[in-house]
Amino acid sequence: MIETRALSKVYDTAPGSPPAVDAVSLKIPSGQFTAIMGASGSGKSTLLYLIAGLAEPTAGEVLIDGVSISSLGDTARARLRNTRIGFVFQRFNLLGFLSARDNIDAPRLLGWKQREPARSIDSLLAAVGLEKKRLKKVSELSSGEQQRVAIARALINGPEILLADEPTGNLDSRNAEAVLDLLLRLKLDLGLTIVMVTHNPEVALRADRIVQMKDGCVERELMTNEIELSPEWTRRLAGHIQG
Amino acid sequence: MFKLTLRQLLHHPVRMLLSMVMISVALLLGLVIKGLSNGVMQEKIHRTEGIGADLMIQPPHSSYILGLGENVMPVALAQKITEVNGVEAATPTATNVSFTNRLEAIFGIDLPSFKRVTGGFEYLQGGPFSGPYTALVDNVYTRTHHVHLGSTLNILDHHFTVSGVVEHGKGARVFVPLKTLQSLLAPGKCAVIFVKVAPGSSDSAVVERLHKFEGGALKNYQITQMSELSSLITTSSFLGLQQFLLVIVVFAGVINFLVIFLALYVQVLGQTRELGILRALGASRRYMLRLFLGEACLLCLFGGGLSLVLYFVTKAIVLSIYPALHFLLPTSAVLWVAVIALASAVLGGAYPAYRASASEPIAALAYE
Repeated sequence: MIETRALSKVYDTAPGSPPAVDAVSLKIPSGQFTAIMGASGSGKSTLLYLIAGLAEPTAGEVLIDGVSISSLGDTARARLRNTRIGFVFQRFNLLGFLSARDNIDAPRLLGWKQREPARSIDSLLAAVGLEKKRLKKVSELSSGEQQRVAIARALINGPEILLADEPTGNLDSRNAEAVLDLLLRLKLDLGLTIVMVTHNPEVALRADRIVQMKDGCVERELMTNEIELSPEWTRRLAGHIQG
Repeated sequence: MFKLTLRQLLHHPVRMLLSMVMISVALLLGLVIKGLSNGVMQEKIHRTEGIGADLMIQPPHSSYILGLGENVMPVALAQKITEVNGVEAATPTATNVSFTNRLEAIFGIDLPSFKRVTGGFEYLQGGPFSGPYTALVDNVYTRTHHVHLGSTLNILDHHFTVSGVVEHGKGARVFVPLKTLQSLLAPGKCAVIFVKVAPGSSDSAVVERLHKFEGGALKNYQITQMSELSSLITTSSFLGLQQFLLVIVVFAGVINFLVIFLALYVQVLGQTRELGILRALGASRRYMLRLFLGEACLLCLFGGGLSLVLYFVTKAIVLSIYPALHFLLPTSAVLWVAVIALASAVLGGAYPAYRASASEPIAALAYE
């Protein structure tokens, strides 16, 4: 269970500066696939970074299974990021000096988890369809392939939570669809809690729940299986897609 | 971590090689100077020991480096010393340093007594002095100075003809008759008396007797047992050499510090995003610190290894040009290289490593 309590983040400390995230309180149950939507600057990526412990909140706290990560020291938070959370970035953020295989292995090189036999990397490579390109430098891979490497890297330590910041944002529709299918399969097969930031309503509709943000605040929330039951939401979402 | 450090280094091979070469050149400077000074010193000791004497008597406060002493002892003293119980033979030797072409010690010897003390020369060509202005040279001297039997040497503005070539290892490389050198420097005087102790007598007992000789006439003289010579001749025997070596060591350390600092600082600035990625993947500040310090240590380790390789290459080149020189690198110098390399790695890598560890993941990931 991920919980945020009155979570706020202000980047510019000058008086009167608007917060990037403003008193957001959310509860994300284990195993749920949540999409966070919103326009650029709505604070959705900052919220994700706060949940991952990559940024310090200005106020409020993030709890994972009841433990406040804000209370953890740098080392404990690094361990949490490494062992319990997988992170997929929009721009892949792969290490250019490593091969696809070594990029996937990188989180384990940080030493928090006992290294597993090499086949687990190979099975992950097979799962993302890159077993033949495992020794290639990541710069030699296509955008879709790079994102699949990033997803495999996020999964190498067997996390319970997968955070994805616009994972399909830099991909064409075919690759975006493949990545999305992969995330859904992971949720079903591994029971992962997935929190995905997206500005694309079609992508968001594949999640269990949509959290819409505006100006750093949660504007509205809905479960996607209720959308058809609510003509109002369908109309609003359609308007959003067109807008 | 080692794998990641190594990959990070290998990702910028030119930067890595340049850093390694710069580190190795700084260390090489110290190694060559230490190896050369030590080699020359050891060769001097070896050559002095090779004389075959058991004791060496010099005026007070004389240098153990033969050739640097003054010719102030009366030659007659050598004859008197032979009367001391336990002394088998003694030979007076005048010394001079020639500055022609290169620094070279010249011995003025009395061949019969020199033979009694040292066992005499092994002649490779020619034979003993054939006149007052004749000289003996050793086979190393013939090779390095391109002289041969019959060649003329200019010593103290006088011409000496080479009458014999001898096997090296008898103290000096050039020998002239004692009386001739005395006439040019200090008549009736010598700089050192070599003493052969009789079989069955102990060196220290003879030294004691020599100090008491003729009511303590020699008590202020410097009497050295040749077996102790190697421990007495150190870098401090050469005026300023120790200080010079220290300066070189400090310079090598400072250069290494700057090289490491620059290489890693540039890397921290250039790889801000990668640092953010590592932090996002779960690298703690401590890990980042270790990663960069590890990289600094690896660079210095490789640089130190390369400096040793370059030392042997330099040695081979120098010896091919100056065969009379000697190199001897003590193990302690190699250990010093490792200490300097590691110390400069830690000091030079500390700030860049701190910068890397202090990077906030979110800020680093946003870095373009």
